[in-house]
Amino acid sequence: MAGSERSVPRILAERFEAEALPHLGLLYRMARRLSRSAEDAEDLVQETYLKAFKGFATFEPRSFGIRPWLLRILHNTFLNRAKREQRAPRTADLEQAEQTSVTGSGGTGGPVVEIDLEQVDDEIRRALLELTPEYRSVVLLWATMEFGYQDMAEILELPVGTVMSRLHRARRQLRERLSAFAPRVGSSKVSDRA
Amino acid sequence: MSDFDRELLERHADGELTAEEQSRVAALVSERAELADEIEQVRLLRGTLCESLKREGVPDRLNGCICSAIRNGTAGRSVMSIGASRWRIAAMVALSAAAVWLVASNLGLLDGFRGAPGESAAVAAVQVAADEFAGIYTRCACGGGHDQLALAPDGPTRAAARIIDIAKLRAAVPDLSSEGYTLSGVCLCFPSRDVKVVHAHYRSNRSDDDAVSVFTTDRPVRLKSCGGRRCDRSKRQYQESTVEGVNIVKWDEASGSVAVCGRRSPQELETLAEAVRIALRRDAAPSVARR
Repeated sequence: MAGSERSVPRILAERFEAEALPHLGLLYRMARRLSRSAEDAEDLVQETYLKAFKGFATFEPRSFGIRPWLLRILHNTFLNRAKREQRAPRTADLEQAEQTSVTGSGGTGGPVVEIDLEQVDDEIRRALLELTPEYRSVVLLWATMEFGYQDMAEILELPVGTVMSRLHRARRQLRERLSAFAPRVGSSKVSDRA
Repeated sequence: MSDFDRELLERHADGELTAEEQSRVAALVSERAELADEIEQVRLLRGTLCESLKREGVPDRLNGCICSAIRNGTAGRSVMSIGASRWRIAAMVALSAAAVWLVASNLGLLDGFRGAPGESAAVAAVQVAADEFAGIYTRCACGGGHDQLALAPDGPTRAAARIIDIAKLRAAVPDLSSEGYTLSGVCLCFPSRDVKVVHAHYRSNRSDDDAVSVFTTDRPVRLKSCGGRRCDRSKRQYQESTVEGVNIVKWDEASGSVAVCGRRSPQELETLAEAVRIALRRDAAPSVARR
């Protein structure tokens, strides 16, 4: 009898860790861009994993795949938090961002300048935070280069048309926000301080 | 360019057009060079965002914290691998036992069987290095208030009550307002996966740099390489340790341990500790009573 004794929750936890934790990197990166601080991102990821673990026993991976499923939980958790907190879309950080001067010349035809990747990431982070949480979710999924419109629609539980229109508007806002910045990224010599 | 044209070009850039739409757009692009620029802009934006995402580093401790939280949620729930019907029987037996316990508990029949503070059940103690307590204190209590369970706004009393549902553990979340501390977060972070823990931490109302932690574990914890000392007031056996200015005072209570951590002197922490105990009676104030 002793041989048949097994800790079902422990086995489930080990299976969950083996299948879900390899996606921690993507989830954290996504969470970090969705959230205003690293602490918020960590909390978001941890809450996502705890929720996922609760539903793992009944999760059917063949129908959806664990990676999109985890992303769905992450985005739902993020949107629920955003609604709950009712944070103002513009914060002191963003005001500070507007005051940050962009060095070097803009435009694709300018001279080659060195770009500080930390500055690029800060600029992108601020631009993303200016989007509504719904637009941020869709544009970040698009940015992973992993998902088509249909996949994004399934993850976010939205019609494909809504995904397309949100993505279109989000991209337009991002391009306006990064107009003096993004072209240089593609045409300039990049130096990574890290 | 209209929004419709732009959306079509964006879908083209994303490879989301049908073959027919694709050839139509390709013909348009060959006639108008600015459309090719437009497509390139979309691809550039996507590539820039993607690269930026990839550069984001993942904190080393996150994996451990998640594993710990998952294990905390499952610890102590060992079951037999049995069929569904036996599950139901087992559940009924467990429910009956719980009902009997609840009635007996409310009638005070179990008081004589419960351990007094300082006594711990015959569960093997887990050894934890003092610097691991100090590390979690520094990261979670001092580093921005890690409120993993989002309980800080609830205050200590409600937080303690909710933790019983969340972590299935009667935890010490004392009200330290009279000592000048406000609850800043509750998390499940702990270095050992074998121990279920609740970590309540507090910020001083006087100084942002001052924080204290109260750890409650479900089984006894021993501080490695550290002796014990009996306190005459509470009859508790305190263990004390210091790591880089962080003091830890730990004692056993009920069937687990409680540890108080902070950058205050051991005497001050001990005074703080004297005010903390885990309530043993269900009808006591939720989980913690002040003396």
